[in-house]
Amino acid sequence: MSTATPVVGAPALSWLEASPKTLQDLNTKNGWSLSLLELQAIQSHFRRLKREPTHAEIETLAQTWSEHCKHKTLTSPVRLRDGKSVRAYKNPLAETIMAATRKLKKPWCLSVFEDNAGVVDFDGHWALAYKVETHNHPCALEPYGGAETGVGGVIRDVLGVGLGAKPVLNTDIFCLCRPDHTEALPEDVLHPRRTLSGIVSGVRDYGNRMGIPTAAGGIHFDADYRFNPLVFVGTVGLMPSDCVHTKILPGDLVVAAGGRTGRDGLHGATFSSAALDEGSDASAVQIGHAIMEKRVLDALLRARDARLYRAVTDCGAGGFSSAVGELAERVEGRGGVRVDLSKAPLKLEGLAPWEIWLSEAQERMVFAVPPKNLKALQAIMAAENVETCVLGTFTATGRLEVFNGEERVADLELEFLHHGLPRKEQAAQWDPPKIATSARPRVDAERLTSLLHQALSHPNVCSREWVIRQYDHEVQGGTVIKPLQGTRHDGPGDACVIWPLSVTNDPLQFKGFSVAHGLRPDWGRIDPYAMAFACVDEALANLACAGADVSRAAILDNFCWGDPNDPRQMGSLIKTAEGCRDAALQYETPFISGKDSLHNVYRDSRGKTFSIPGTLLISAVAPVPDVRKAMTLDIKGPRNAVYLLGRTTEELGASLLASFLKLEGPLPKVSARENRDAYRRLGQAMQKGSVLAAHDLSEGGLAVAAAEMAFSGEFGIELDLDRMACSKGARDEAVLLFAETPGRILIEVDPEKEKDFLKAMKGSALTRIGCTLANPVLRVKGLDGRIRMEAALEGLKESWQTPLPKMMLVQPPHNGGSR
Amino acid sequence: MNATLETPVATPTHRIFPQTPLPTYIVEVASKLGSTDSMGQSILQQLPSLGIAGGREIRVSALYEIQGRLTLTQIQLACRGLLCDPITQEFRTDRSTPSSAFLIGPHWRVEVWLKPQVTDPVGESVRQALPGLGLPEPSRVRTGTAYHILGKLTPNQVERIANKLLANAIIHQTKVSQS
Repeated sequence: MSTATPVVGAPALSWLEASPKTLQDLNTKNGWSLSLLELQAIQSHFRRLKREPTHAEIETLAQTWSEHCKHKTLTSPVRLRDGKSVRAYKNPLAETIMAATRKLKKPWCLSVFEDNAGVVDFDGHWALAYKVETHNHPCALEPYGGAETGVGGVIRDVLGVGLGAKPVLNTDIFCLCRPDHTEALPEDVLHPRRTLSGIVSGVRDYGNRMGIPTAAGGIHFDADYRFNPLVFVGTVGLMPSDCVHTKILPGDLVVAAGGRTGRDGLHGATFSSAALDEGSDASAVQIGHAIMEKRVLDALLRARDARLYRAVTDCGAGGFSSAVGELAERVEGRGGVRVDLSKAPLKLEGLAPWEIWLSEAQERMVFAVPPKNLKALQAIMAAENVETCVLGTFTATGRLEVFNGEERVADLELEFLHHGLPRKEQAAQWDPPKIATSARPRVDAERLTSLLHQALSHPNVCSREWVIRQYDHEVQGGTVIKPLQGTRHDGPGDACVIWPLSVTNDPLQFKGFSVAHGLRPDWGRIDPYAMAFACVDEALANLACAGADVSRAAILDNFCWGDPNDPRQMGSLIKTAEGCRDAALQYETPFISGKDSLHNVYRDSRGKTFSIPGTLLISAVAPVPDVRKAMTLDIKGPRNAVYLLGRTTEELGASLLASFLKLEGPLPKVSARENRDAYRRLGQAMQKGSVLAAHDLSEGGLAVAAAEMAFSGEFGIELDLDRMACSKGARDEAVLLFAETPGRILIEVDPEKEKDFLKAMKGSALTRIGCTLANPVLRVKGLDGRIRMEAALEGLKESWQTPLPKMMLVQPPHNGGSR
Repeated sequence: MNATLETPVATPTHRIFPQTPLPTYIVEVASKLGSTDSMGQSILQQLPSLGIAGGREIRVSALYEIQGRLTLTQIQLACRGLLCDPITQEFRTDRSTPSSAFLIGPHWRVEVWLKPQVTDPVGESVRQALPGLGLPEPSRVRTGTAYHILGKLTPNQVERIANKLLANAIIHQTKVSQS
């Protein structure tokens, strides 16, 4: 740096001479969430430069090196002690999840792990972008604002991938404590009922106001989320295939567009590296402005189609500092940028330059614009009422130079900023919990029906209609398969199917896509490696049930974990990443994007810490070759054949039955390769038209799946347990009805097309286990051929529909005269 | 957090007497008496979960604090044209006579406003929308909600309702009164 330009904002205290203790005190005072190693790396960098760092420089480094931006836990060396064996990773993320994608080498993966979202080919002309993020900490403090800005942020990620994709679908998954929780909570922790109601309203308002359907998701209740609820939000968008890759040239202008900059959301990124405690600072909490973002969306797509800019990214965590810093690195050659913060329009006067640079004010995008296109871009933005400003110019200096008018507030080498983060080996340990060998359940035959009611009304099974109905899942007119299905549009669909006509504008092109999720934190408690397989399997099984082409599925990972400084937490995290790698390889399904949220820990006033259960969310997307052949779960008529795909095994670990009977046991095995082939065949059978309905067996097993299919279609089902393909130990009525072996799908088949169906499914374990009935009952024949259960569908449906409204203290849904 | 951090963004275009403070109006919009107040009902249903049994009815109205060089007549035009649905709602300004929607008998009133330093997107949209009605653009619009709680309640219970159901101290400030 030239000595002629004085550095403003230099701290009164000398960084160059500061002791480790002073550095750590500064770190705590300013909320940077940097480790001592990182602080010292900064110190020695500036010692080499023989000058004091500015406040803006330290803030920029803290943001860029934050967990949120760099994922330093998953990209730094780890030594894992797994029982007796030891494995070392230099960069666990690259060596597990990314390595699997590289090895699978799918030509239809267009952009993976490099941009704001993962991009795959859709139909040759269009590319599909998908991103899933979490917004856990803000949602814990202010559920409505946290969820809104979470949705707004992930939409901007899809707007900011390549040259920008048009969002066509939003997804949302919540993990929280059940809303009728009665135990006392600390004063600063919101009751889960309030959290759920707030986040649902936030997701609803942002998606509905922007005109993007929210049509896929889920909720998982577990008391261990009571201090740290998890909120995952995702967006799928489409863009022309030639907009996927971008190139910035030196001389391009840095143009910011959208909302004004205020003091909101300072330290959001570093905040995500810290644990919540009593008295967490709330300056990271914001309220979203969906209408503003809708204007930015409209203007951006018009400007994109006129190819007025060369690259775009969103202002997320870290605000301008990370958006401009990221783009600067993508400039051809050495990269570089020079910006003047005094040009940024502000919400309020009196912001310090570093606050402008770091503010996470929402609804802002940064563009790289060739100077000759500036006027045209500004005209389009102005026509949509979007404010723009030229912040500076991209350069080839290899430096990030930030001015405020004439004052130089930061001058950092990009090399140090992006690659200077010191890495430290982390300790990880995994000792498998001691699981009692499978205890056989003892269930009286009379109890089977009441167990089924109990399973249907379990918080993790019961109807989510109260949530789903608040979302507009029809806007844009492409939701072919809706989240609620069946005769009365209230059955639990496995996956939605979207026909993106609002983007392609081609009514004769019937290609669509389907999105589904897998989330099994209860598996992770027993075996995190197996959890990864269960999640991938569940997501793909759901896609298969909707009629998607599973051989073209792509998946995204989201890790939400507790304290990574605890070797056991770290151990389960790395085990899960290994599981993801192996599942991706065995299912031949590549990861295209991912995100992690660590430090989901709560520290109470006495200093006791509570971690969430390690939670992996797998989100999957796959094309549906012909949306007219897409599938729902409801039984379509009487006297049709009912087939069960897959084999039932006796392990009851993490199943509802085990929790009801207070049993412990090992987890079922996931036969990845067999399941993969079966799902692919099922998708093909559906495209040929031989399947009438399909539903995967998840929580509550066969009994719950059959009940859901039956009451959604208002036709009965008769099941013969004696015909089920099962392991030796599974020949027990309760096990056959309630086991949760993955890889099983219940399928209704037209008897006239049974031959075609069997031909298409050749090679997969398939048994005809019953038929559909005109009578509205679920009838189960026991192993001795006698009728073991005959339950009216009305009552089953009521058990399934009432729990959530009851827990939320709202009216149950009207049931259109079915009772 | 410090309330003095905030300075208004826009200043009125015609400042005749810069010293005189800008007029500030409080507008309140409520559903007409007799029409369903679904938000109020859903809050009422949650009172038992706080162990509070005395609540009889809750009526909710929207609050707007509009600051700018506008006359009362212009504010009323803004209410009719933008803020109030004439079929289901009624409005009042702090200077007008209350209409039937606001004559609801003895009640607790809890006002919940966004803190000054929290961005208020609805307020921003209202501020930008008034020129569309041919009115001057206000310098500042903030939004809030007023909850009118009818029934036998102690001040402590009202405080609990405000803290546990209506407001989040992280982004809101509240004002409780009895009438």
